[in-house]
Amino acid sequence: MSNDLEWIKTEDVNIPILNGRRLASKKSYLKEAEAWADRLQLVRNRLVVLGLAAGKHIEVLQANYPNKEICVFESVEDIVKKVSVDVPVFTEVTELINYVYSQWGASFQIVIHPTSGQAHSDLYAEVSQKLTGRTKESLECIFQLQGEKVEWQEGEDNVIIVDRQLYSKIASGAKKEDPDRYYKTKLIAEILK
Amino acid sequence: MKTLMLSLMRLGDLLMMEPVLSAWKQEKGGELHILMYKEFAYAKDLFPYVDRFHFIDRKEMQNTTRSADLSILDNYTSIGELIEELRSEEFTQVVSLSHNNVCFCLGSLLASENTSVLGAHEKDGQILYGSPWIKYLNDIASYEGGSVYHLVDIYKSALGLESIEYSQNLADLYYGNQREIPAEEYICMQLTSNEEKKSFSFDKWANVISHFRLLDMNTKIIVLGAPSEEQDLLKFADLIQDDNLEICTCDLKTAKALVSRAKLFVTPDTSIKYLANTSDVPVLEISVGSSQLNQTGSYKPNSLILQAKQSCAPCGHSFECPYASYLCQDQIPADLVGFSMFHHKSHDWKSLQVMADEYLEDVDFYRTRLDDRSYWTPVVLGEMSLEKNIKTILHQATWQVILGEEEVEDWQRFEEAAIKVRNFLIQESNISDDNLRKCLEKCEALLLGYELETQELIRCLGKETRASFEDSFERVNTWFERSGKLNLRLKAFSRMYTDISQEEVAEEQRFQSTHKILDNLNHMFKIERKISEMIRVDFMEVL
Repeated sequence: MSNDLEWIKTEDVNIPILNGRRLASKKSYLKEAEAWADRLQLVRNRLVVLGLAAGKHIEVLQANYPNKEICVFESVEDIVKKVSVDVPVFTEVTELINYVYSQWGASFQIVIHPTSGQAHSDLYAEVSQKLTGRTKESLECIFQLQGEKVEWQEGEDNVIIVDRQLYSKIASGAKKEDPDRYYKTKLIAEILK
Repeated sequence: MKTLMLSLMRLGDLLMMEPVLSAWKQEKGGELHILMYKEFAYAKDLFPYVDRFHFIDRKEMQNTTRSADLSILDNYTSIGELIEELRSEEFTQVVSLSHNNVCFCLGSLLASENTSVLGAHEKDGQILYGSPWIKYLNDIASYEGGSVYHLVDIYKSALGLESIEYSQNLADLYYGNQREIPAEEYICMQLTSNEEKKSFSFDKWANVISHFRLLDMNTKIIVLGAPSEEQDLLKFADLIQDDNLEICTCDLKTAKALVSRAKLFVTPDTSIKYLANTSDVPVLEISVGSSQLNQTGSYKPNSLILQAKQSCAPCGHSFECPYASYLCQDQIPADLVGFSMFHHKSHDWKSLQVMADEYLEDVDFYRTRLDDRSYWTPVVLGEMSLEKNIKTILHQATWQVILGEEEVEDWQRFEEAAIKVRNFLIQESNISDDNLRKCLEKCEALLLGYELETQELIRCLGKETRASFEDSFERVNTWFERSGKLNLRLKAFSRMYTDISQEEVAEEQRFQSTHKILDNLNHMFKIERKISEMIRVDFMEVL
């Protein structure tokens, strides 16, 4: 889908307007970013931010949470070209998944930049599902990266996987070849019962 | 020495094991760590001698599964980090205090050349237990009602702890909140349990208290509860309209301090009851629903436990009662509980004995026994109880010999078991020769009955024909039930029974299984006979 992208230039920042929707406040972009960062309930130390917008919210995140590692997904390449931030930025989901799981493993949290989220609601929902592994396709992709294996049964093609069942599946497939993996996954399935 | 104890079930299971933890710390020393669920972290204060706590945040893990912004494999990473953290501690020993699948997995993950595991776990493809006592727990005690030992005694024996000593100096640490302790005489009551079937309704408790008040107008009653129960308990106080009754919703530390100084503590089978273990307060436990008193009863001497004589009691934890009301609760009348409270507060066992006789058909009255030389035993009060009590003590002694087979010299194992039976008989007879003779005669009669029963069974099995197996099935089951050793619900026996009764099973296999059963029968019977001979020699003069 082609995007209609315009820019508003302010004193120190370029504000993107995507398909007629401004992605950050023209005058109070910093306050807006501060308020957003304050509202976040962060439970992990690694953050995947969906939406680059004007980039100020990334700077605020870095300033407010200096111990957190951050990367960004932004599907509009022209925004990525124009807005510069000091964290990795990805435009392709596969690249993002590769980066996250190879660099961080599974311990990360997704946060969505609100105005970007409104502009790309369907896309970001899809990216979230793929990144968190809640569909068969995305799980297979993650498993390939992690060296995991799981055998599917009929009717499980498009379901969102329930965690405990998934861990039981991994456990049953892992026992002989890797007892360590088997008992870790079985342990999780038992705790979640 | 550095030890990690795993307690990953309910809060009550952790509190119940407090005597094991404190005895371990006192006898073995070294660094003691506990791994528990984070939701019970507030109970940490009750274990001031524990060097470090590790936690599994079960609620956080459950939230993670529901959070669309976290990876579905997030829990895998967090558990991996926990395992690495535990491995890096390089524990000398890991002890599973909860016999469940969670601890089985953890034991299997933590077992190594330098870390031994006491508890069911897998190592190099083999299922190991670390002690015959844990094997007993796995094969027998895990089946409801199957054990002749309290869980604390099983772990005490498995860990080789000589005696469980309640350290008052450790308990004194808990009495910090002195302002909460009333100066006047009072009793404590815990009315609620996390399961409806394990405690009376508020209406029934009100009735219990009104009967207690018929005999005792003055003693203050403190009703304990968690802060989350405050509103319900205040409504109860309104219902009962007793000026001398106070609701106290408090933390565990305060509850422990209150219970320790009370003149009586009345409680259903709930975690709070174990707070009384380290003090002299008399405990009256109401054992209803799924309460397995023989494994988890109030672990101290001279507690009174009331349990209805209902064929369905106790039921399984997850068993949903099919009746319109809980029969096991209905059968324990409120007046009985109220009057028992009065007599137990006065340590009046003679009156309680009379009440046990009076309610013989409906309710079992148990008086708990525990001293340095014996296992915890719930002794039945009232007429006709002697036979049941001698059976219990004989089974404990027999199993003690069997479970100690790999560790101690032959004569010593029998001697230790015989001492326990001897002590029981002396206590039961109140050191009167007449009573002792009666006890010994009963013991002799029981053993003679066992001998005939066992011989008949061996004869039936020895025929090795399918018809004789069918014929002896009832007898086999009776024998195993009687011994509290094995029965059809148990894997070990059901496997053997399947082997000998299935048509498709090869003759050779059936032959082997039959002989396995015969060997067990003979072995156990020999032990019982040897113990009885030792007792007979001891009491020759009386006989």
